[in-house]
Order: sequence, then C-alpha cells, then structure tokens
Amino acid sequence: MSRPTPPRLASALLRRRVGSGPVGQSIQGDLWQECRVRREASGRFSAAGWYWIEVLGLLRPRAYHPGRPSRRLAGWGQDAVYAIRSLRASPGHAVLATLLLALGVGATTAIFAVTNSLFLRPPPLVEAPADLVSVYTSGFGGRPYSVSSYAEYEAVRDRVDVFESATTFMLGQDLRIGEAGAVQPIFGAAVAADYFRVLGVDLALGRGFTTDEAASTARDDVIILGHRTWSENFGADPEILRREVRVNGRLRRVVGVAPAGLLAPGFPVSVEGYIPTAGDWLEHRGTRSLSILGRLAAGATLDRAQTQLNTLARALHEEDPRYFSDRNDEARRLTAVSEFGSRLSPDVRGAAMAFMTMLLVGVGLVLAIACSNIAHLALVRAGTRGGDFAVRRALGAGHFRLVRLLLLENVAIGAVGGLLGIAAVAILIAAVPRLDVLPQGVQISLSVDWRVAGFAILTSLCTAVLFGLIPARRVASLDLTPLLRSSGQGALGGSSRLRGVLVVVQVAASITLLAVSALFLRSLQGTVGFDPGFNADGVAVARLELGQIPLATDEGLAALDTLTTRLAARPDVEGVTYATRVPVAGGWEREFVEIEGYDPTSEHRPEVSTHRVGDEYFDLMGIRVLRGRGFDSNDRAGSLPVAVVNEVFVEQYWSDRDPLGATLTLGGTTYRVVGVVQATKGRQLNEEPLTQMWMPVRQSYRASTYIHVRYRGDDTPAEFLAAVRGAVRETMPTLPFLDPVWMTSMTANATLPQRLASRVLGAAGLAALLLAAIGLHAVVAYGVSQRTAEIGVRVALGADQSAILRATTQSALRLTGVGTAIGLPFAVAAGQMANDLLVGTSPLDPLALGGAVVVLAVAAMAACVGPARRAAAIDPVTALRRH
Amino acid sequence: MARNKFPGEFEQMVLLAILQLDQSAFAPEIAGLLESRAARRVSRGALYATLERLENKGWIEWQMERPADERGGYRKRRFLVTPPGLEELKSARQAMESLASGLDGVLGRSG
Repeated sequence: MSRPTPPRLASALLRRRVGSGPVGQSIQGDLWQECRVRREASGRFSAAGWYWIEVLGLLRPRAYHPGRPSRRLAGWGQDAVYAIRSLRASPGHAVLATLLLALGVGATTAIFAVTNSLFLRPPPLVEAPADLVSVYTSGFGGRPYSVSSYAEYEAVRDRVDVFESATTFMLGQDLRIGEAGAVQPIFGAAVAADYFRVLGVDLALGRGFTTDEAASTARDDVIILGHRTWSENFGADPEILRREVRVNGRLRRVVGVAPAGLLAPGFPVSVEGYIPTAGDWLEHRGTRSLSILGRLAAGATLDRAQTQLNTLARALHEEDPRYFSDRNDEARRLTAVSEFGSRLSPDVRGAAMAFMTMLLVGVGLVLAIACSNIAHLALVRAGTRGGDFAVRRALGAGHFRLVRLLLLENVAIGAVGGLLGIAAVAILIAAVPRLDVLPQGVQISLSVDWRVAGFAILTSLCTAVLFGLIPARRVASLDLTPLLRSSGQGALGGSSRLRGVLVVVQVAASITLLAVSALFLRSLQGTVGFDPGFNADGVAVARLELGQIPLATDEGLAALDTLTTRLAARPDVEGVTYATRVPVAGGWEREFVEIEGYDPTSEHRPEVSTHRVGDEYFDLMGIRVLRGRGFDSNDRAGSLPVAVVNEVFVEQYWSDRDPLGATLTLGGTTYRVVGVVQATKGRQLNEEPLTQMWMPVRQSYRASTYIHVRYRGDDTPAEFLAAVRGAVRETMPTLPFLDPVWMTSMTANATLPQRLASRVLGAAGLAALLLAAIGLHAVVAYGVSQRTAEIGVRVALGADQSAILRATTQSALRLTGVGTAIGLPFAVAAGQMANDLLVGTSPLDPLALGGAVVVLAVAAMAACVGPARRAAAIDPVTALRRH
Repeated sequence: MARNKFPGEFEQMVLLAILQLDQSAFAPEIAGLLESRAARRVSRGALYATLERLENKGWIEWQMERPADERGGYRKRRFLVTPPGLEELKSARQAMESLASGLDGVLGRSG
C-alpha cells in the first residue's frame, strides 16, 4: 500500500502559496480530502494529476490572494515586467549588452559546434555504437595507433571470436565521378564486404558488397554511392541500381546507395562513394593502409577483446617475425579502442584536440572581453540608477528585491544574447561550404544540436548573470541619504579602479588575440613565400594508372615516351616528366633500404622516403642538384641502376664519406648514387626534413605515376589542362585517369590548418579589437559624463581645448598601455603553443607583435576621440547650472 | 467600488450553493455541488478566490471545525451566508426577475 498522501512536491508548493494560517490550513485540508476521495474512486494517478492541476491553478498570481499574503511568486512576475520595462527605457544599454554577448557567445559556440561534431556527438545512424571497437596495429616506430594490412584484418576477422563481425576500410579514396570534362571529385572509401553490417546501417537502396565483390583479386567494377551524390548528381534516380557510372574513367555498376546522414567512422565527413577492397588490396595483403572495425558479440567486453588481440599479436609475430615486428625487432601490438563517442583515431585526436583547445581559448578570450564590457555597462548603468534604487530601498524594498531586479534584467539580456548567438552560429555553419577552406569533395558535418544550443544558452545566461550582477554587491551597502539628496548619480557606479581593471583585462586579451592572429597571417604569408625546395607553379599533373589498362612494364614505358614526345612538341610546354608522388599533396612511400657502410643493427633500421621519377625530373621541379647529376634518358632498363639522394640523407648516413658512387639496395636491386639534391619538403610544410631517395622510373617501374607537364607562361589556363587531357586520351584511349589539375591546387591542402586557424583567429582578433574599442570608448565616455562639472569649471577658468583632450584621454591611454604590457607575454606564450602550426614564422616575430600593438593603439585613440571632443565642447555655463 | 458590490454570476452560484448545503457547506462540498448541478468544472483556485472576495464584501463568514484524520489533520472551514449576503442575493434575484418578466415566450420557463 502506497502513501495515502497527495504528491509531496505539489503539497509543498501549495503550503508555500497559502501559508500555514487557519485559512491556509483549511485549504490544504480540503485538497487533501478531495485527493483522497478521488484516489479511492478513480485511482492514484488520476488523483495525483487532479491535485497537481488544482495546485498549479492556485499558484497562478491572480488566482488567489489569501489574507496573509505570500507574495514571493507574484513578486517575481511583477519584477520581470519591471525589468523588461526598464530595459526598454534604456534601449542603448540593452541592445549593446545583448549584441556584445551574442558576439562572444556566437564565437564560443561556433568552436564548440566543431568540437561537438568531432568529439562529443555519437555517430549518427550507427546501431549500438558502444559495441563498435577499432583495432589498431602499432606502427614501425612504435606508435600504438597505426593502420593495418589486409592480412591483419583477415586475422582479426577469422581468429578473434569476441567480435560478432569485423570489417576494414580506408578513407580518403580519390574518386572522380562523371564523364571526362564533367568530372567531379568525391570523398571515397574502400570498404570490405561487411562494412554496413558491422555499422548496423541499412542502405537506402540496394545492398552492401558481397564477399565475392570485396574479396576477389580480379578487377572490381562496383560502387555504392553516398546519398548526397545520388541525390545531387543522379537526381535521386530510383533506377540507379540498373545504371553504370564512370568513376576515375572506368565504368562501375551501382549496387547500393548509402542512407542520408551516414558519416565515416571516426571522422565527421560524409563518404560519397564506396568501392570494395578488392584488387590491389588483396594483391598487396601486407601493405598497411587499412582501418579495422569490429562489433563486439553479445556479452563480450573490450577487456576480453584486448586479451584475445594480445594472443593474436603474439601468434602473428611467431608466424612471421620479420613482417610483424617494429623498428626495434619487437612484436607489433594490436590495440582495441572503443569507438563510442569518438570521431577521430586516438593519435589524430590529440593533435586535433590541441588545435581545438587553442581556438577555444581564442574565442574564450573574446567572450571574456564581451563579459567585461557587460560588467562595465552594468556598472555604468547602476551608476545612473542609484536614485531609483535609493527610492525603492526607502519605500521598503529589501536587498533581495533589488538584486532580483538586476538579476531578471540580466537573465533577459542573457536569453536574447544566447538566442542571437545560436542564430549567428547557424548562419555561420550554413556558410561553411562556401568559405572554401576544405579540400574539394570533403564536407564536414556540423549542426546545431541540443548540445550546441544548450552550450550557447548556458554560457550566455551564466555570463550575463554573473557579470551583470557585479553592481549588485554594492546595492547591499547602499547609503540612502546622499543618494536621495543628490540627483542619484554616481554612487553606484563602482570605483574607477574596478572599471580600470576591466579595461586592462580587455586590452590584454585583445592584444593576445591580435598578436596570435597576426602570427598566423604572417605564417600564411610565410607559406606563400616559403621555399619548400621545389617549384609547383605552372605544373599540371595527372595521375596515370597504367596497371589498369593493363600494360606490361615495357609497354607502359613506351606509352609514357609517346605521351612525352606528343606533349613536348607543343609550343606552350616547357618540359614533361613523371613521378610516383606529388610532394606535400598527401600520400608518401617509405621503404627499408640497405645503405653501404651503415650498420643496420645499430639504433634503428633505415627507412627512406622513395620516389620513382622520369628524366629531367629535378630540372622540371626546380630542385637544385648540389653534387653529381640528375637522371636522363641514358638511365634505362639495361644500364647501371642509379639513384639520387638528398642532403639530409647524406648528413644522416654518409657524413664521413663521399656519397657519389656509394650504393643503396632495396627490393633486391643495388643502385649507385650519382647525385645529391637539396632538401625538399615531403609530407608537410612544417616537417623536419626527411631522408629521401629518387630512382629512374625506367629502372624501377611503377604502374601508377603522375605525369608532370610544365606550362610555358605565368598564368594557369584551363585550356592547358584540357590539352594535357587530350594528349593522354589520344595516346592511351582506354586509360582510366584523373583529370589533370595544377600542382598548386594539390599542395594547397598542406596549408589547410594554417588557413583555417588564421581565418578563425583573424575573425576572433577583429572581434576582440572591436570589443576592446567599445570598452575603451565606454570608459572615456563615462568619465566625461561624470566629470562634466569639473571640466566646465576648468573651461571657465581658461583651460584650452588641448588640455581638456589630454585630461580626458590620458587615463584611457594609460590603461591601454598597462593592458598591452600585460598581454604581450601572453601573446608570446600562445604563439609558442601554436608553434607547430606556424611555418617560417617565429612566435617572437617582431612584425606580428608590433603590428598588433600599433593596431590596438590606433583603436584606443579612435575610441577616445568622440568623448574627448564632446568634453572639449562642454559649455561651462550649462555644465555648472546643471550641477 | 459600487461595481464590486453587485454579486457576479459565479458569486451568486457560490452563495446559493452555501445556502443549499447548510450545515455541510465546506469548500469541497461546494465545489462538488457546483460541478454536479451547474455542470461546469470549478477550479479550486477560482473557488477560493471567490470565497475570499465574498468574505471581504461581508456576504459570507466561516467557522473553524476540528481537524480530521481523513484530511491529514488539517482543520475545516464551514461557510455561512451572512444577512447582508442574503439581502444581496435577494435583490440580485429580484433585479433578474423584473428584467426577465414578460420574456417567458423568448426565454422559456425553466423549473
């Protein structure tokens, strides 16, 4: 038997409402009695519902006023109305405070939205994401979270029984869809048969890949389209499953369409084309480039998965110690990581977190500045409302009532500011695709969900209430008499010291942000003028997959020669060559190399970044040959195998001997070094120089290569790309190949972090500057309004205009100076934190720091001009009469 | 003020209900009677507000009865219509009837 009493919370509310006097008691008793009767007649829930409804009805402010009033709730409503009225009475303050808040909250929320989509939001559509486990194979250098090979995927799939199913995939497949001339890049993934089943996702149309499709070494010819590509490129054609689409020049049958909103595991991008892990992946089972994802069987735990993976790793090491070991000849490890709630692989997560933290700190500073402005506004406003408060106090309003009034005003400001902030973020997110910061074909999924909206509202309310209530402290210690006697000015305005501190904080935060954004701008400038060791300007590149025609080695080389001759004959072509990699464009190849005179057992086994290139490669790329020679047409299949290394290689392995004539062995062939070239950037612009070596493609053939065609001219006409495409088509009509692009567009992604950071921080810096200027302006303007009488006296006594100007601006400029002095060390420290993202710029860059100081000083001056001139124009007679 | 003196429709109904219930004119019973006879839902908020208003106008008064267990030990108010209250009710009714006289054809004759 449950309690025969009415709902406890409702009873408590009722008691508060009607009080404990005789009338209140009788009302409580009435409702108790009725509730009991109803309970017996129609059950507990019905009675409780009735009780609640009646109590809520009694709570309505106008419903009931008992003899001994408990007016607390009615008072709230009254004060809320008054708060809104008083805000409307000084719209300047309300609008300014709201906009300041919206700016700060908007900036913070935008960054939070990115963080949310990267780290917090569970992957959409995926069934029971808590059961998904990523398996990482440790890398050669010992990194725990590295990619796996197809062989390792098969071992996990077949030999670990904690997984109900397992799949493998590789993101970032460069897929270009459509007929030549209208080709569009899409973000692709290669996936194994069970991919969609492991994720627990139903396709919108068709099916996933069959085991045959995904595990045959024959040429695969199927594709699953992303929902967006299906809708936008094929008009959501329901008959798409009967169609073939051209992908990278080859026809593929569409077997399925992924559901709308599905994102890649571990990264918030939408995959728009899935191809099976067939062909190459199966032929090169040992190549590590895949991610493994397993779904735990019912009852299995992550711990058990890890135990089984440890056993598997030991077995794999025993079966093939050479393959499954790292640089130190120790067994590699397999690590299970729960994918729930994470969108990035663990090692990327660290870097991304650091980057996001930096951005968050940046926009947090903007919010801090906005807050200090709100506090300042509240102080100024309180100053002019001293009279109002004194009267209220004198009429018997308690301390609580006055604070509540301030509180309600600030809640209103906070709520509106938060909503505006959310609106700003929604607009910003809608604009992201047009901001041109992401590589072509990549779309990051951002959205305003409840977390983002909640974050914005909470931040907004908290800041508005906390900072808006600063004057409330003073209300407590209000001395009525002088306030009532005077016009009520000033007494609440807070000490000038507190206002001064706020301005100093603002200036310090602004200078930090300004300096960091200036550093990033300099860095971007640095990357533009930065010498990566090669010259990508005016080089058109196109990837040729000769293995897909397929051509044997000699046929392939003959076809490349024909193509070279054809293109070189054009008057607008300066040179033609080939290379297996485009530097800093993503993707690189590293191989173990036996180095003459170097003991491989010491310290670590040498691994070198390798390239197979065509004749005159170094000339065409503008890479300086420091010693010896580059390659020419005499370095052919039958002649002595030759190689070129870079100066970093020489420094690392042959510092004590002449590199020319020394030998290198890889893949069973020994190459003689004939040249040394300067260090060039390989993977990223801000990397430590890599050890690299080059071999002639004629002697070390690779079926996949990039043709490089240097254009004779300074512009980058689209017709030239079309001409290159035409020449490739004529030479090899059946070759699937990617549309030619300018190399600079491929290397542009290398500067993506810098471009993103400089844009975000640049915007944050501008916002900070604006806010700091507003803050300074407010301080000077307030100072002038408080000192009207004093200035009037001075003018009357014959002070000239410049003296007045000096007097009014002096303190503002002094505060600016102090803020700058405090902020600069912070700016340098922030620059140190961001050092990894800075290219060719030091955190102490004098131009960036100096520029920030100058910009802020100018803004401070500008902020002072208006109020100072107003002060200078004060008419002494009017001023003195008024006071 | 004069406007407040004239009993409103709901006030009249409450006064009538108190008279009908006589010795058992407690708030829950008044509400029950209004709900059954007048076939309208009576929010307790509105009822207590009206009772308080009638008391302020001096038309009703109440006596406290002893607490009962079935009410959680809370005391009970029994309402009585005061002589001025009765007068108001009468004059309101006379005003109604004189206004309605001769309109039987239009209004029909109830009870």
